[in-house]
Amino acid sequence: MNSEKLLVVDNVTKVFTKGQGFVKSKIEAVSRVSFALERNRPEIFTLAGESGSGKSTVAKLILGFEIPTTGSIVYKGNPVGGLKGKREFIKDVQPIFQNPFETFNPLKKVQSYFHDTERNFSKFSPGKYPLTERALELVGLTASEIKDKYPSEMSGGQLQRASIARALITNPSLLIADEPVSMIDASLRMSVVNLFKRLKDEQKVSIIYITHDLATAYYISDRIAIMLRGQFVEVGAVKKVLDEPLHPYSQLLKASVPAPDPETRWSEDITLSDLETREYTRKGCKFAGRCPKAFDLCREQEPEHHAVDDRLVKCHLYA
Amino acid sequence: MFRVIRDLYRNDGRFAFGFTVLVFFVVISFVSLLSPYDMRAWNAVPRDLRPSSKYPLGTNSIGQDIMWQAMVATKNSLLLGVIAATISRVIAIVVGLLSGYKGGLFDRIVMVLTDSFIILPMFPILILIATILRSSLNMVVLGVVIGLFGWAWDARLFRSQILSLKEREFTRTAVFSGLGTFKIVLTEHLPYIIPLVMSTVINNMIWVIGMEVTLSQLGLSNLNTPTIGTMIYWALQYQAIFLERWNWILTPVTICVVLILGLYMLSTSISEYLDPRTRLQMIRKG
Amino acid sequence: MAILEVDNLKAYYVTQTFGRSSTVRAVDGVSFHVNKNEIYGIAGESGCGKSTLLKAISGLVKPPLQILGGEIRYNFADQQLNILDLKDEKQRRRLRGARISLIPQGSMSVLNPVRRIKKSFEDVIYAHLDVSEGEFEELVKNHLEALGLDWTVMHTYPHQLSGGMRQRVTIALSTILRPEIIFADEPTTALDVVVQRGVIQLIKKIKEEQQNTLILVTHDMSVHATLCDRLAVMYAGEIVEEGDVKSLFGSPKHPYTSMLLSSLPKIGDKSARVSAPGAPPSLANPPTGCRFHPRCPYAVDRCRQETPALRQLNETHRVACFLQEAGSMELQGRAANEQ
Repeated sequence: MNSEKLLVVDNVTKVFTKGQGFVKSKIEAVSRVSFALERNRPEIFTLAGESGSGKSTVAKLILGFEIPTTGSIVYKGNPVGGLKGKREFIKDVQPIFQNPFETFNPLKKVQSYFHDTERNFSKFSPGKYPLTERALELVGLTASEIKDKYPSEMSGGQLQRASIARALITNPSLLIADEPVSMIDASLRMSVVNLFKRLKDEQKVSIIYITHDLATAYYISDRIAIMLRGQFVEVGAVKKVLDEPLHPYSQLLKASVPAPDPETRWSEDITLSDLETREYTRKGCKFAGRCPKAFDLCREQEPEHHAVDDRLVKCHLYA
Repeated sequence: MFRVIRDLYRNDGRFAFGFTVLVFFVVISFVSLLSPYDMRAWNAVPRDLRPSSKYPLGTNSIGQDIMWQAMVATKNSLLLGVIAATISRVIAIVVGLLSGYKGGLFDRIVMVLTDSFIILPMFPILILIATILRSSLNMVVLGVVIGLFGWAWDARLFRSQILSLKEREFTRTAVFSGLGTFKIVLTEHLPYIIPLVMSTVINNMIWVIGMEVTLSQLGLSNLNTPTIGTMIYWALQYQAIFLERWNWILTPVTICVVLILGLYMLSTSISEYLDPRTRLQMIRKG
Repeated sequence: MAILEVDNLKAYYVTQTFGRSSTVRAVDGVSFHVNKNEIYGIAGESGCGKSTLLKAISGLVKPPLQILGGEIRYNFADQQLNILDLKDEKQRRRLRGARISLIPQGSMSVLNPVRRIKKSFEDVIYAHLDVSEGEFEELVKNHLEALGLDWTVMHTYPHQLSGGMRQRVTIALSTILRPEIIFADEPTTALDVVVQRGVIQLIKKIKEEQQNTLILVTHDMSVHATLCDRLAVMYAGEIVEEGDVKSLFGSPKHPYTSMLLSSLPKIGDKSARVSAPGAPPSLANPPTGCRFHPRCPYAVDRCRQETPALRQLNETHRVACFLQEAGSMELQGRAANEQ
């Protein structure tokens, strides 16, 4: 059964210990997270949440930069271990990072990464980089836009597209995109986001899209998982989860997205959490402190995932 | 490369000064090979002569031509500086890089070793070694010995730079471009390390030259070989200040001061130029 | 009544490093006015010059930034002044904090990371007011309470607070002296969406309570839609459109504004969106004529040769476009995308 799946994340937990000696504190950055992507059905799966929700840690776990404390991550039937070798894995799974100016070494020409990737993963004849040209075409960049350029000579939008192109050279089956558009101006985001849609539809690439921007998530995702303090609180088809959110946190998130429309403005105020660490170490449901519908059980016991209306909701209200 | 030097020369007074000084002294070092006298010989020329056209800087109390002495001394001191600085750089880079990349237990052990070298009172130990080796002490040996002590501080510096570079995102990109660790170090990280190395090289040279002068005053150098330090030593031995033989004592002192000043200017100018932030600014201007 | 008038302001960055010089024309002939008690927004992509504009009008001009022309006039109740006349840093400092206040991007740069929050407040208040310890406490307590913050925050260090909390404390600090004008530079960028909502609410609350004028600079059009009364859209160092927020969103008059608006996604709408093609031009080397013409789908020859001036279209709307002068052109706005 497992060979049917592209990626299986099974009950993964990641604990970080801060401090040394006597003063240690443990933070469960990722807590019992599970989901799976099908092999022959490419999809865009979004991990949405605020900062500190653990979504970037999940990305690092999948890419192999961190190792799960418990649980397992299996890609095409093979476990994803520490980052040692695993050439096949690197060929098939590629990352796209948030800050394109950090993705590339500012002292190196951008094209060097392209050439290196092509050289390392294909038979190549010197001077000719057909895979690079193809990848640039896919993202809508011309060769002259990156030829001999350093990262600081390109705009954020161009550079991010170059970053995506580099990830496409090896013809991967899975892209892990960590906040790929948050550093690009709002008006240029669409070109990158539309590109992801095209990649899924035409190139059959699955994408794990990590973001805190629900509007773009709604626009391109198939499924979405809302994360809070390392846990999935609601998982399901994006239209369902965002049109009618069930978990109180999902509802709060949706209500907080400002609409680009002066006719709709918020009517009521919200309260904000003060110190982040308090929510991490809270017993019971992590959202109980802010939840308008919380009751006693919420503060005592962590809720289970309940299957409701074709999605999973981690909330006592739906027991 | 030449365009860079020309750019720096035109626009940075410090570089102009330092570069000129360095070139001047290097030229002198080469010219010194033409010395008509054997530098170790005493009484090769009449003593205590004032500067004249035959002896442009005069002669000293042990019968040597001061000008040629000074030239050979410059050559030897520079040579010493280069040897010692090179040895200590190589050790520092190897130790720092290996330790930074391997991490774990290896790193901890190496760092303890490095720290011991940092806190060791270098001066008394150098005196000890110099005393023991006194008979076989030539420039090369002295250079090696000093070099073996000058690496520890900078090893730590390189290691911390590596540690921070390992975490940068472009390192991850390089991993996913299929580059092996060695290639990553070479192509991604070295451009950040090189400026550090360059500025420490020159600083190290300054330190070595100063150290040699100091050791010489204690008689812990090969006193027959002319270096800046030994010249000062002999001049003081023969009461050059008391006897107002200014040409003898001031020559090495001036050379020493000007050389170190020039090297220092060069070092600050180069390290500012090579600083990745300045380079970024310049790339942007294009 | 206009509390701030800017007249043909030109602010450039002139730099020289190791023999290479360049001039970036960040603000190139900008004129606008802000009315008392309104929230005025300045929108645009990064690199359009809006942050520079803010720096220039709030008096934070340091080399390599230079003001090469124009006037900036403040019309306070009791005095009028041209900020460019204030050559003395001391005078500017007295102006800042008391009369005008800046909420910067990135809250950490305002709060001293090695001092408790209380010290930062003390620095600001005692520099401008002569009050006793007790009066200080009362002033701060009331202010925090009005903003929904707790006094306990005074005793913490900045790093102990979450990013959103720090931003709110910074806003409290910037408004404690009841400035007449508040400048906010990207106050919600890099904040989570829930925190962003809290910060926007806070800004609104302050403005209502203190009745000050707010000038808000951000590239996020949704934030403008939520907060502003009037809005100016900047492109490549110039204002290309300005008007009240409802009509600007509903029926934009400049092709750039229309392009900006139609590329924004919205929850509940999965219909295809197109983003603005191309990229903003370099301010060191802007295009000839209308700076938007390389990306404009309606460009004609005149656009390449002449630069359109910012003209009054009707009482509230100004636009810099030749095609609008001929006759009102219908462009897609937000309303057109509703399902």
